[in-house]
Amino acid sequence: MSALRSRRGTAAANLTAVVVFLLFVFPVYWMVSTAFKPAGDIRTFDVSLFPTTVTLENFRTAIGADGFWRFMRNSLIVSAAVTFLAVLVALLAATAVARFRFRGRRTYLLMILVVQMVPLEALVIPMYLTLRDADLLNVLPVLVATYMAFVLPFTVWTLRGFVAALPVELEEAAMIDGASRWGAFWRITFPLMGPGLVATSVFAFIQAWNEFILALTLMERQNQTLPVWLGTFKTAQGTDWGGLMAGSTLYAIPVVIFAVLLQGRIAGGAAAGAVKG
Amino acid sequence: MENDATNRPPEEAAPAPTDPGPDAGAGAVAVAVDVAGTVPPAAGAGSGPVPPVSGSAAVPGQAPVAPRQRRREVGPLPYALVVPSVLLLVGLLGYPLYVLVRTSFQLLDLRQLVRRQTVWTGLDNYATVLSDSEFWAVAVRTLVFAAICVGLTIGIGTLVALLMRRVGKGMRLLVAAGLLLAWATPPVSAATVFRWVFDEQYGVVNWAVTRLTPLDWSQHSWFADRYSAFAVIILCVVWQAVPFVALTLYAALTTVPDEVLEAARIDGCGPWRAFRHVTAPMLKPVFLILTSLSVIWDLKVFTQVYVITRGGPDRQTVLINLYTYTQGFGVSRFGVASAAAVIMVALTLLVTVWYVRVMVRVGEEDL
Repeated sequence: MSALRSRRGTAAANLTAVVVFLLFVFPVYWMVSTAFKPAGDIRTFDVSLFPTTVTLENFRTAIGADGFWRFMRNSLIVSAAVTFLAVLVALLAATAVARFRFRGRRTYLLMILVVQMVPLEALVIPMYLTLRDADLLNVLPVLVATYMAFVLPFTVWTLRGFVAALPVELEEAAMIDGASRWGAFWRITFPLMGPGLVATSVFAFIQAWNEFILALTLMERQNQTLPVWLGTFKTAQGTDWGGLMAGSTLYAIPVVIFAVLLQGRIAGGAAAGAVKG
Repeated sequence: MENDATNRPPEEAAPAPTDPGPDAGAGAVAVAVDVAGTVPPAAGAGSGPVPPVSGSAAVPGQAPVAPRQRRREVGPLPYALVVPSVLLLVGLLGYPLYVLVRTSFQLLDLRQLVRRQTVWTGLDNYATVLSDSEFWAVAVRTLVFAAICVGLTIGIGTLVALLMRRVGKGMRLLVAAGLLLAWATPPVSAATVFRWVFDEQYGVVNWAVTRLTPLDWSQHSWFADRYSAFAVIILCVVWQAVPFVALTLYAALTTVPDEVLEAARIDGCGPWRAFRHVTAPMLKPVFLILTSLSVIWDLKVFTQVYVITRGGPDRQTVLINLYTYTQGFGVSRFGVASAAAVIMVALTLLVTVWYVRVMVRVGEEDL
């Protein structure tokens, strides 16, 4: 009887799991499926949960919209630049805090922790005023710099975890075998950091890619990024939901791909093998 | 000679703190999920709720190796490595913070802005903000909003994590995949979709309500009433925030030994009591960290409100950051806006102090 009850419990749990899955996926599904529906199937109250006719018309509208490619390009350039710079600077700092004990280390780490929490939304006004006085509004490289403000602390913290998790013994063994400290780091630790660097880079990229308020306030029309274009997208004849959903889908695709890649890459940490034997 | 690092408390369960980026609980929190049900990477990065099993750089069956002291005199090298990041942070965060505080003591309306005048007004801006009844309404609203979002996020996140513990591998992968998708959707996309799902004319929710219930909601406007408008915003924020919490808690749950739960069961604990008296206390540090992070993130929600309602109807869904934004970029009262922003930063700082204290007490690595 208790076996029966537990079997019933398992069935209920599985059913709940399916419901949870559907609830979390539905908004994404609705975005993508709307993007593929013809206008007639969108602008009707006779909603069909599955698209009956599939069209690429909405994607053509979104891509053909004024400036789409420029905004896409801006977003890509800014996110890639921020990622590269932040990971580079963070790699130095992360190595220092994970491999050395030095005076001020604890203070530095506490600072990184606190600084991650500063609400960027509150800094938009001074950033705007400062850049305006320096005549630097609406300049893409400057946007990159401002993004560093929130991407860098997070990147330092995350990378530090990865470096700290790599056994220092490997480096020491190399040094006993005659490698210099730099050589030991460069040839032994750095290659092992591959997964950590990839993961951290992806997180940094996603943060920059998603950023909204700084681009909204510090950039003007032609230098906007994709989220601002999307967030303020309107057409003369009311909202074009098909085009909007197609745009949202295109904008979301890189992040979703990255997220999926990330979990695949992360799983097989190289160092696990290195230490096992 | 090596490892005279002092006796540290054993590494305990604590997720690596991660910043979600500009949007509460929605940005690039290091959630990213190993669908196989292992540790989220950043959480697994050195300080995972569990010694990462298949996480990034795991040493099987061993806590992540803490950095060790190798030499007493380390020389200038670590300082040289840290300096670039310090300089960048001082310039990119410290300086704007200084300008923010300075501006909060200035009269800076459109007139002064255009003429580039500096007019000091002492505490006038704070007096203006604190005597503005809208500010108080906004402040209370923001606190209530954050409380609801955090409660829902932690509550639902816990339930989903427990569910993932309960079901088999296939179902767990399914749930994790759903969470990953919700987490990975950029906030602007998410907000746009929620606007569409709750659209007055063609929204699928109105359609479903009309089809499935006797109500006719074919023209029901979710955004004409502040409560239902807020419901949509909260739903959107929570939908994106739950994955991080659920996956971190799931990873933490796997660290609770089966024997302990078994013992509780033999002693006559039902599932609820076992959770309440065994699991929850063991995971208290994780809960504390997740809660403080969620509070910090949900206090500063901006994007979702901006995209979904722009503060409407009748400015009834304006939260603190949108208030600041409108005071500044809307009506060009940058001094007043700065004063409001300073108050917002101070509030966040309070929560941050709590968060850092938890992190330190938990013995998050070797701070």
